[in-house]
Amino acid sequence: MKKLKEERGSILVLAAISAVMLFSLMALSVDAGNLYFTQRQLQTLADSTAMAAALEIPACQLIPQNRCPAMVTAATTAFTEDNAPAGATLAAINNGPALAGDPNFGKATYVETVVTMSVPSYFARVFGTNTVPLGARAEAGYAVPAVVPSKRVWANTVELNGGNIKDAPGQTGGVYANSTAFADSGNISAPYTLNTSGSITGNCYNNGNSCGPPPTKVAAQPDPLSSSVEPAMPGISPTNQGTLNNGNNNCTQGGSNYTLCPGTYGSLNFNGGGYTVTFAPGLYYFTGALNGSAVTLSGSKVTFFFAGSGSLTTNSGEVWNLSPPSAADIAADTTHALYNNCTSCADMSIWQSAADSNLMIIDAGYNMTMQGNIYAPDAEVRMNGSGSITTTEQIVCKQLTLDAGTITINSSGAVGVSDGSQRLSLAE
Amino acid sequence: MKLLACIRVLRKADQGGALVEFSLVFPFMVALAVGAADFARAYYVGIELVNIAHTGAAYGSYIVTISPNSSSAISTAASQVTPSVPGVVFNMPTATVVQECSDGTNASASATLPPTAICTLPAIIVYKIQVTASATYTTIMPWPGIPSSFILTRTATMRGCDGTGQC
Repeated sequence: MKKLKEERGSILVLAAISAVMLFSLMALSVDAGNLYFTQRQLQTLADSTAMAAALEIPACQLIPQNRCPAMVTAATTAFTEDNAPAGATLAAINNGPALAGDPNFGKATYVETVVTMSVPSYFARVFGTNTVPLGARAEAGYAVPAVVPSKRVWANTVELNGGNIKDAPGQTGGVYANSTAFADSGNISAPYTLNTSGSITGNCYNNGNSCGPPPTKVAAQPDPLSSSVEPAMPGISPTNQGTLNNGNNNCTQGGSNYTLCPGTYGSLNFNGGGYTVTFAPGLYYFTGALNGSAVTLSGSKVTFFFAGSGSLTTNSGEVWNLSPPSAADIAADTTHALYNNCTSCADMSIWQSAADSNLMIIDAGYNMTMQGNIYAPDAEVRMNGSGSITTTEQIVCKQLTLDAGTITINSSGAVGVSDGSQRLSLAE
Repeated sequence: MKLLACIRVLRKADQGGALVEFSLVFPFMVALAVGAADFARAYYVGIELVNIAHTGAAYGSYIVTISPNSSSAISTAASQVTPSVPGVVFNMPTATVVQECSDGTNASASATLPPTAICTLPAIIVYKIQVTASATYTTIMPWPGIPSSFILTRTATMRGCDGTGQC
C-alpha cells in the first residue's frame, strides 16, 4: 500500500498517456492532411480531364459512333499531363453525365469524368485501415450556340484544300455547308456551320492542319437566293470578243481602255492586254466565256449574268471592283434598256444560271472587291490561286473549292447571335 | 558528516520529483505537438498551392481563346488566391501556354492565334496551360534530418479551347 501512495513516476505515466494522445493527433494530422491534399489533387485532375474531354464534344457529335475514341484519348492524355499521382485512375468518362439527378444528365453537350484513388494511409494502418478510397468528379460543357449568320458563304459542298475564309475585322459573316464539309488544309476562321444531315470528310476537318474549328451542325439553311428570277436575254448585243460597239451608250475604246455597255455578249477575252475596262451600269448577259488576266475591271451598278455556255475564268493579275445595282436603280430603268427588267438583279454582281454548270475559276493574283452577291446555284466556284475576294454580300454556289487565296467576308448579320461568351466551361 | 546526512534525507524525500519528471518529458511532448502542427501546416500550404495552380489553369483555359500569349495574366490571376501564412513565402506562380494536338502529340511552344500545329484526324488543336505554384516553407522548429527550409511545388495543367474564337 505504501508503494501505491508514492508519487514518484506519476508524471511519467501521465506523460505516456499524453504522448499517446499527442502522437495520435499528429498521426491524424498527417493522414487527414494527406487525404485532403490528395483529394484536392484529384479534383484538379477531374477538372482537367473534363475540360479536355469537353473540347472533343463537337468532333464526337460530328462523327456518330458508339464511343468516341478522340474524347477518351484527350481525357487520358490530359490525365497524364496533369501529373496524376501514382495509383490514381480515370474511372469514367461519360458523355453525357451519368449522375442521377444531375441537371445535365444524359446531355451530349456535357461530359463528366470521375477520378478515383485508393490513398495509402500512414498511421491509420494501426487500426487496420491501409488505404482510404477517394474520388473526384467534374463536369464540363461545350455549349454550341446555333450561330447562323445571314451574310455568309453558302454552298452545298465547302471544299477546303488550302487558303482561308475569314471575316473582316469586326464582321460576323459566316460559312455554311448544306451537304458536305471537306477539309484537307486551309482555315475557316469565320462562324462555320453545317446542315445537321451533312457529312464531314477530309483529313483535317477538325482543327487539324490549321483548318480552323469544325463546323457546327445547325438546321438546314435553304439557298438564300433561290427565289431570284433569272433575267431574260437582252436584245442588244453591243460587242463580241472585246470589239466595241460604239453606237450605244457612249461606249468607247481608246488604246487599252474600254468602257463597255450592257447587253448580251458572246464572249470577252482580256487576257494579257493590260486592259482597263469600265462597265457602264446595266446587265451584262454572257452566253460564252469571260476571260481575263492582267486586267482591271470595274463597274458600278452592274450585274454579270452567265447562261448557256457562259462562264467566268479569271487569271493572274486581275483586279475587279464591282458594285451591283440596287432595287431603286432597276426600278428607275423604266425603259428596261439597262437591266431588261431584271428585278432580281438587285444586289447581284456575278450570277450564273441554275442551268449553267460551267466551272467558275478564280485564279492566282486575282483581287476582287465584290459588293454584291456571287450566285452560281449549279456550278462550282473554284479559287485556285493566291488571289483574294472581299465580299460584302454573299457567295452562294453548288460547290466552293478553295485551293488557295483568301475570301474575306466584309459583312455582318446573324439569324442566331453568338454572345461571344465562353462556350467551354466547367459545369460544376 | 552533515553533508552525508543531508544527502540521505534528500534520497528519501520525493518532493520535486514531479517537476523533474515533467521537465524530462515536456520537450518530447512539445516536439510531438509542434510536429503535428508542422505537418498540418505543410499540408495546408500544399493544398493552397494546388488551389493557386488550379485557379491559374482554369483562368488560362478561358483567356487563351482571346490571347494565347497570356502567361503573365495567368500568373497574375493565379496569384490572386495566394494566402498569407506566417513563415511561408509564396512565390509568384509561373505559367506556360503551348499548343498541341489533343492526343498529346506535336506540342509546340509557339502559342499563336489561330494555332498552327498540325494534327492527325481526329485530334484537334488545343492549348495546354500549365501553372506552377511554389512556396518556400520554413518549419516551425528545426527537425533532425529535415531541412528547416525547403520549397514546395504544385503544378496544374488544363486545356483551353482551340483559340479560334468559338469557345
